[in-house]
Amino acid sequence: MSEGWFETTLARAQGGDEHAFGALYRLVQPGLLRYLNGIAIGAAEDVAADSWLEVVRALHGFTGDQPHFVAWVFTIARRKAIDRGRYEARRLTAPLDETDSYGLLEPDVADLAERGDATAQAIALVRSLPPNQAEVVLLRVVAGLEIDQVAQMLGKSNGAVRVLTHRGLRRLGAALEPRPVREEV
Amino acid sequence: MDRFDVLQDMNDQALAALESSAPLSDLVAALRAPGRPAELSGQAAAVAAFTARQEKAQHQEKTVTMEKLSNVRWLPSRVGTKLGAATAVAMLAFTGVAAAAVTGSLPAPIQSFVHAHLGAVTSGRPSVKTSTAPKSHAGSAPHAVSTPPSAGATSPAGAAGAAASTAGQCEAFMRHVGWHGTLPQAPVATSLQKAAAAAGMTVSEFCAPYLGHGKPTTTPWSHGGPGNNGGPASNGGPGNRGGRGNGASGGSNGPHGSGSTSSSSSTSSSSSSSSSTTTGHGHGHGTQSGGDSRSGNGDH
Repeated sequence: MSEGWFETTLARAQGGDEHAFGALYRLVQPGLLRYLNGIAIGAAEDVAADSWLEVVRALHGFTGDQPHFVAWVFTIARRKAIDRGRYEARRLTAPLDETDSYGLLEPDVADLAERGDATAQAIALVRSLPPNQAEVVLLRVVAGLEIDQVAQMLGKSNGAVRVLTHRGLRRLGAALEPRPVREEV
Repeated sequence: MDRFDVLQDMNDQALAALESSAPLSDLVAALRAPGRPAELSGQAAAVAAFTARQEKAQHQEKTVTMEKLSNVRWLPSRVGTKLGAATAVAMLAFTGVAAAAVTGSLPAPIQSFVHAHLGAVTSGRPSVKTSTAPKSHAGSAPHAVSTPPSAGATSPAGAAGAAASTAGQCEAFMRHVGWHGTLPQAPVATSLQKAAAAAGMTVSEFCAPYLGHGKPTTTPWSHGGPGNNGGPASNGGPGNRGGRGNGASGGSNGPHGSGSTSSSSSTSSSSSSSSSTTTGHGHGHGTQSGGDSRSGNGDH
């Protein structure tokens, strides 16, 4: 993307150009959906759709550059995901099978690897982290946000975000390192 | 790894280096991979929502604009309505006051004021002064022959304002008698009658200098009978209608049915006769030229 592309595209979208809005959508939507898949299992697409509706309503009032726009959209999506989680928590649900509560129906990393879906495999691996570490890693890696942006979004200090990010990456690295095969005597 | 090493790795560069390290580089690349078509499947719905939002915003903008325009259109209409209503109320009030002034129904100070400012103007209208038709019959109409008082003797203090006020009162008095055939009951009329009585004259005689600018004029209630050519009739109108002529109160001492002439009457009898045949009964049907003659109904 050339310099000034985002500003031009944003201005056109705010002026009503649907093609420009589509370009902004393609810019943010993949990372947004991956982020939501990491924190809102099973409702990522619904939350993303609600988030874009909110973006459409408030787009004319947005001012800022591309990192700020991405952070703005992700902030909207995070709030939508939290609302969705609260709504789901209030619902009276009865699991069909005890095995569902253990997450065995979620996509397995090995299965994803066999299908060649590296992105889905990576998301599944990040999801194995503690929730706060997984969210920080996704915001840092997938959305490409800076430490202070993540800290502002999560309501944490920059140092706390750094620690969470470091620990999460360390744990992912340890999980990806090949385990030494013990030779049986 | 001890705590010191962790803190050392917490800076952004260390994190970036960690992300690009061998075990995590593939993971980070997979997480940052370009969007797949499945991930962009919701683009059509999002763009449709965007388009619908734009159309709605444009519609609202047009609606707001039309509302503003309609408000602007209504503004002159509302102002015009208010102005029209205010004008109508003002006209009604003015006409009501004018009618009350003419009939002498206003309180004395207001009546004097109105006649002082408006009566002087209307006194110049010949049709108002003496054109009212008499209602009494010729045979029973009392006519008094009187001598008009001099203006200086009758006008109070000779002041111009007072003279104008008296002229207005006289005009209102005669107009009321001419229209209604009765004496006005307003205090101003009573005072006028008293003033005339004090001067030993009828009201018509008393008012003649004021209404005719020094010349005697006929009273509206007198008859322009065959015998009263060229002279103003005395105030016998009320008497010939209800038997309560003002011969006593107004100083009219003339015999009933006799024509009254004034000292300054100069019109010919022929003109008076001709006018008497054309005038009828009622308001404003009587004719008079220069206030010299008076004709009434039943004279022909």
